[in-house]
Amino acid sequence: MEQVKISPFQLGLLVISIVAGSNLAPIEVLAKRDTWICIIMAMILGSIFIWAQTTLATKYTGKNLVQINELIYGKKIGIVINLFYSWYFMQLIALQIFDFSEFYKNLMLRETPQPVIAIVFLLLCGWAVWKGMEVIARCSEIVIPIIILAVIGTLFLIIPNFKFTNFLPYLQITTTDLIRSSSSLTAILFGEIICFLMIIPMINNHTKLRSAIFIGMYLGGALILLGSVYVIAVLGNTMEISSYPLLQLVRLIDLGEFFSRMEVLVTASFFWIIFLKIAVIYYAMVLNTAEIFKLKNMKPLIFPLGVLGVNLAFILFDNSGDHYSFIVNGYPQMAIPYQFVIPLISLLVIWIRKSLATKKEI
Amino acid sequence: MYKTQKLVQNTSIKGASYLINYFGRLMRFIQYGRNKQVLAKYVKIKQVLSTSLSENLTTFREIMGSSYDIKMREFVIGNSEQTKGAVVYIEVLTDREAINQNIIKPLIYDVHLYDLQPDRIEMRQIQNMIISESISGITSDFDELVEACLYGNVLLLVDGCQEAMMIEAQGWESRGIEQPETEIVIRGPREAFTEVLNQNISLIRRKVNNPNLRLQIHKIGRQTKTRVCTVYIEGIVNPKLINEVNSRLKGIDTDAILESGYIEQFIEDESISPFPTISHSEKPDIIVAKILEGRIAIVVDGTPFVLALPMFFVEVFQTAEDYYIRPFYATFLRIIRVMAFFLSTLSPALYVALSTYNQELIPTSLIITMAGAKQGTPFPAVIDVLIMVITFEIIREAGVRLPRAVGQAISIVGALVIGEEAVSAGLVGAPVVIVIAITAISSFVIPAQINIIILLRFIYITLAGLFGFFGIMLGLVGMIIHLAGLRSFGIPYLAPFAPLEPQGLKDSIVRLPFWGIFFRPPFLGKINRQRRAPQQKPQPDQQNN
Amino acid sequence: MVILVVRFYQLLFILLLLCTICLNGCWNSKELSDIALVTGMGFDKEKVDSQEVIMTSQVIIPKEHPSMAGAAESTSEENKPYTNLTQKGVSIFDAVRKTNAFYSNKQFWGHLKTVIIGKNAAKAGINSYMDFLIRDHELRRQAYILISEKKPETILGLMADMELIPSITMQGLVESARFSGFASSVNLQNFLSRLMSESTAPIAALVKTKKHEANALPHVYGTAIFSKGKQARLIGKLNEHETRGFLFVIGQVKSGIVSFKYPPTEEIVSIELLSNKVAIKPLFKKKGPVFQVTLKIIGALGEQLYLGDLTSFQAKAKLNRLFAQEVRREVMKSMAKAKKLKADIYGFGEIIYQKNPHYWQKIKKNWPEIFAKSEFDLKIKTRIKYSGLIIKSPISN
Repeated sequence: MEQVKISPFQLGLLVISIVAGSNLAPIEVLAKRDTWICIIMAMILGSIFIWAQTTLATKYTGKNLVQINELIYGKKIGIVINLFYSWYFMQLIALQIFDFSEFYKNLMLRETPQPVIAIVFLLLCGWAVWKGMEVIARCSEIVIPIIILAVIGTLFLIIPNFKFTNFLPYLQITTTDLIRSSSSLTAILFGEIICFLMIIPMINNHTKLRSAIFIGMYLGGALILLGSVYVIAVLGNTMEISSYPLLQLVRLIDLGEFFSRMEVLVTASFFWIIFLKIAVIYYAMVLNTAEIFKLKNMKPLIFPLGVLGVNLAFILFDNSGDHYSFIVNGYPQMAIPYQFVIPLISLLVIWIRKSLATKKEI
Repeated sequence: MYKTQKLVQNTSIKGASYLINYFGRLMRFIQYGRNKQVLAKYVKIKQVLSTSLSENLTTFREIMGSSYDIKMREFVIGNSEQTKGAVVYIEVLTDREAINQNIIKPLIYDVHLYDLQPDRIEMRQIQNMIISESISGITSDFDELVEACLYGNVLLLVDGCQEAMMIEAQGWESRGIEQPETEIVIRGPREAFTEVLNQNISLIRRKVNNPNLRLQIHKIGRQTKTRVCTVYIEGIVNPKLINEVNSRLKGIDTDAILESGYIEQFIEDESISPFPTISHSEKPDIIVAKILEGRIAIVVDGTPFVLALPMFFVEVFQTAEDYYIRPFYATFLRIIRVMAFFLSTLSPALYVALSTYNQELIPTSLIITMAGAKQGTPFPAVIDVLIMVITFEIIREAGVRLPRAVGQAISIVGALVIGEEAVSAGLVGAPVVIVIAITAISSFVIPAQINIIILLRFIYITLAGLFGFFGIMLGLVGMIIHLAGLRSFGIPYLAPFAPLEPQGLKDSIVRLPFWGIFFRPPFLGKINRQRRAPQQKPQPDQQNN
Repeated sequence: MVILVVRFYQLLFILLLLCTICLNGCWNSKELSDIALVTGMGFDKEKVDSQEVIMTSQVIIPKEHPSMAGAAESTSEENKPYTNLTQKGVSIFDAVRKTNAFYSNKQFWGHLKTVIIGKNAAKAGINSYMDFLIRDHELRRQAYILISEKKPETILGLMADMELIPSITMQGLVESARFSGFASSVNLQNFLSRLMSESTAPIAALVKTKKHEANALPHVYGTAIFSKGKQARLIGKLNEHETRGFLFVIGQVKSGIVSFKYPPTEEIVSIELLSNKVAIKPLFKKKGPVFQVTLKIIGALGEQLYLGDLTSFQAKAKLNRLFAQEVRREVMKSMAKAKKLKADIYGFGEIIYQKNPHYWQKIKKNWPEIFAKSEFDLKIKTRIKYSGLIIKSPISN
């Protein structure tokens, strides 16, 4: 396809944007005060997932997911698995589209039909994908430092409303709920890094690949942890009923006459991060499909796949209640095979083949 | 039934094919234009000088026509009657005194001082011994001779000699070096370029005392043959950049180059983008600083604006004065310029978005005032804002075109009075006038980039009117995507922010003191990176304290 | 031929795209002249058991606001900068939409400052009516909640003084209650938090009218206490001093004056409160929890009507003792009232849950009774600074 090169720093920033751009409201409803424990557990689980994925990538340097699958499983089964991944990426995009268009519709643009918001946003992302990965990487370099500054700035403004007793008592959550939320969180936050396997071949320094992705993952996880810590400390027991806890949180900032009405900051940061996230996933999806069918140029596919994604988003979900219960109940079961199980099986196959080959030599 | 079906089918196919044909022709017309003619060629004169003077003079008259300023003065070389000579020159382009003193006088009076045979005079002899002006060359090609004559050279023809000499005796009226009109500084040199190429080059040469300063002349434009000179310092500039610029300049095929803007639009990377990828300046110190960073300057004869390429986005916010004043204040000023840029582009759109879509983001006392001001005005906020923006642009443009004494007063009075009366008449609300005033004043902080600001302003207002704050975010993201994809002669436009180069950040939005910046800007100075020695921070003497 | 077709469809696509963007209109745009800025809201019922709710919203009329050029100099009945819209409905949202029948602008809740709940509605239970205030996306949770004896329409029509709109005045009054500690300032967020907790009783401030120069002004005082249960009903009140006693235990007294009589002459000495720190330690005994409440209060000598020397060592000790006594009196009064109403307004149930969830599960069911019977071990530590511009009273003998 296109011969662009990304530096490891840009790759790390893109990983941060994918991790930090998730809406944790459904998990917060489930896990309540112990969300932060679930996030820490998810980071541990996520490390295992990403270890598997990056090992797969480093075993075949310079090849993206489609090519790796074909090399491991052969042509026929490889194509089947790649088509499944294509379907998974499409679902990812549909989920994200529904999520953010619901957010903007409920918050600001009530009468606008939801598809219009989604289409306009997706046109923007499609334009970025058209320009190529290099442009998306450079956008992330500009945007993400600003967002990190905004998050830390909110910390200083919201400190008067903190009540640390809201964290007590610890671990009131039942074990099944803990496992459910942790697995859900891992699938949402960290498992989506599988789509980076399509972009990894563009990095210009393959030795720093692993560290870039891991550092990005931990930084993104730290941002999410910080966000949920604020939510628990300030909202306390009212966080169970909020659809958008971070937004409620920022609405409560009221220092002096000047620092009020700062939810502008949250909506703007959300916009940037979601844009980067959807641009990356969109790019991965289009590249995936183009590679499966061995096309020379992936640009003609951008528009049709976007149309399909938007349609899928509005077929899958009716309202946000549906969406939230899907994320908690159905999404981990659907996603973890793609994010973890298949890479693990691929690694096993490689290992078995290698040990068989060494056996044969002996 | 079948027949009518077939009839309908046939007519619809005919109609559709006609429509498609029509649209096809429309698209072709849009793309290539109606004329399929090629540019009027500059006819090459295929002749060569003959030995007869009168024949040559007749040919010159034929080629150059009978304009009154083309003078051909015949004389006799030496004091014999045998050798005739003539000078052909254009009166308005040459220095009459120089011709009289240095060309005609020696030829008439001083030839006998030398040992020259009057009937067998060679051009070489004349060149070596008699003429004291500088010589462009000796040739017998009519093409070169005519071109040289049109540039102000004097042509010396001698009967019996098949070559002619082109003598440089240019002299014409020019403006003289004055203060810059567009870039005004409080501290710093106040010279500006003029319209004469040689004066501009002399201003540059005086500042760079370096034998590595190279100049390359191109003559671009079929009808005008404008002289365009690329200036760079060899050893600092990337050779690939020089080759690229030269090849692009050679590829320009047009009638005329009247200003450096023409060249800019022909060789720039992205012409559709509102953001300029080639910077220009009127002051020699700016241009020399840019050459020293590893850029190439293009000086165009006939205009005081000199191009410098490649360009970064941060240069929009930088001026030369930043480097002459204290670093902290310079950083402050740069940040103010960035804020002014965003204020100027975003204020009207923010007003529209906040008052139409997102009223909860405005403090209560302010919204009461805004709502009160809005009562009774007939139009929605978007239309209000658009009317005021366009009105202001009309006033500003009118103020620019008026004579200077009248123009300032009219624009200020006009804006204030019109604004005031519009509010009293109930056409627009008072907050709109204030927003437009802020917008306009902020746009004067970076006057050179007014073209970016105007276009972005309108885009943002439209988006804000459609989607409110969401629309503004769309616009901002779109602008960043566009900027991230721009390249200026192979260099990413947003360097040093993206791709991140920490060394380059020292002189971007902030300006660290000179003793802290050691390297040339990223991507430009790949060959010769270091420009200052480290550890030069001024410190008091350690021993005497 | 193919290129022509392709170009035609490209042109068509771009035109359609432009059409969709230009022709769809801006669904969500509401001009400032089309919205009604609601700064205050009140709801009440006719009788305690009636089904319908009467809602009043206070809408600003910007043209008459004196900050606008062209408005009248002083406000009188004809050109008030606000208007109150009253409407009956089965729920608040229903009533809101019904007001559009007689007021053309759509109400905009983004600037709501106060919510006033009438006595009847408070006694009937307010849980269900809270839903509108929490669910709406424009509403911010910084609005203050006030309970009133009279009808909300009367309160919202009271003549305001510096701020010209009654609801904004009342917001200012609630916020300035922190200077005296005589009313509890509860905004929607705090109210919701208490409503959702399992043990803590919701509270709100009270408002009544006060005569002032032939007009009536709103007067914010005290605390209203609601019960827990399916519906939060108004069950009791705390007056000014009891409110302050209650706020001492929560640690929210930012400022105020505590006055007491100084023996032997029984003249008044006033101490200005500077800071209020509280530490609550629950002990989990079998017969019930015991709460050790330690109050650390720092005050400054504000005013002495007592004509004597208060700077001597003994005087300081006596002053501290009397101060602590007065504080204890106030705290005990409020605790007695809370126990009588069986309402845990202090949040002690939450503290037990946080420190020892196991224990909490056992006593959760009968918490109101257990709270009423539980013991409080109150320790008060006071410190009085002597600040001000004079060292001792000028007239001391």
